[in-house]
Amino acid sequence: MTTERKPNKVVDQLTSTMKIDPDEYSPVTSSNRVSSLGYALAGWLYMLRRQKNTRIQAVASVVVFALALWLQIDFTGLAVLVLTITIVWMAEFLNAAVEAVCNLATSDIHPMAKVARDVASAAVLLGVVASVIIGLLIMGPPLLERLNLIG
Amino acid sequence: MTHGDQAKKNPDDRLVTPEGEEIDQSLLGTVKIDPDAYTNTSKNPDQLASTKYAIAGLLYLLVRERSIRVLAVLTVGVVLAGLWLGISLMGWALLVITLGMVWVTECLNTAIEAVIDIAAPEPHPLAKVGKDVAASATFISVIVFLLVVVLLLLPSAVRRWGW
Repeated sequence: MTTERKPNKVVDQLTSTMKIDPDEYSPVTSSNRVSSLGYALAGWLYMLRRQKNTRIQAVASVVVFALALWLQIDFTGLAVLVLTITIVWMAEFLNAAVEAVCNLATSDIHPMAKVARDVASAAVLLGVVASVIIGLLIMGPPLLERLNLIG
Repeated sequence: MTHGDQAKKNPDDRLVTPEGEEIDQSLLGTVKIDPDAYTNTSKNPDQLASTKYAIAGLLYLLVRERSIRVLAVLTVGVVLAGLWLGISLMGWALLVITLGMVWVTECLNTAIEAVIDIAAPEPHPLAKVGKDVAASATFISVIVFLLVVVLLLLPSAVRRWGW
């Protein structure tokens, strides 16, 4: 037996990524936490200003939340609704990020750019479909009840 | 240190592109950037066209990504199990949100892989970082999904068979 560590292929494969230092390849070195938060806010403002979908989504989110409060949905229901709304926002933002990176990677027409954009927008569509189903599951029964009481 | 020092970075932390365009780093700086100035695709596609692209992307995933087909089968299986075991409306809501999360991360993972293949046709360490980190996002979402499925379905299954 040798005292040297036997090269382990699996371990080497698993640890290979963490040995890469991203700062070596970035023109901008990541700075402190406060400025990270600043970038996040800047990105949020960008989305509200430049993406019509995000503005529609912001209105829809407020309307859904107000409706949930009016229907007196319980805390668990509200928690699930907030989680759902967040997933749609996250998908929308990551979709915009992928689009930006696409434009950055190539200014030519490229088949993989179409794949990236279409698949990223599929993520948003699936998020929206899931949120509509959840909205109906959580707010549908109380809404019907409330409408019957009024009508 | 290599690339970091060679990059165009002024001592006073200003960001200047090779073309001499300065990038505003203030909170409102990002808003000033017009994405249409840098894109080669049609500007502001309408809602219908956006939905068409999204469905085209879904079809691509189902045809080209084996993991998505596995996920589709898993989704159908879990929904059938939920119907058979009879879970509550809130249980359904949680199941749908978790399924949605897995599908969304799976889509974004594939999208990021495609962008990386455009940006770096040659092997690049950061391409590996990008792909591996995106893959770990899907991995985490699948683990959470399995946990939620067990938490939601196990009580009903126990009640049904009375262990």
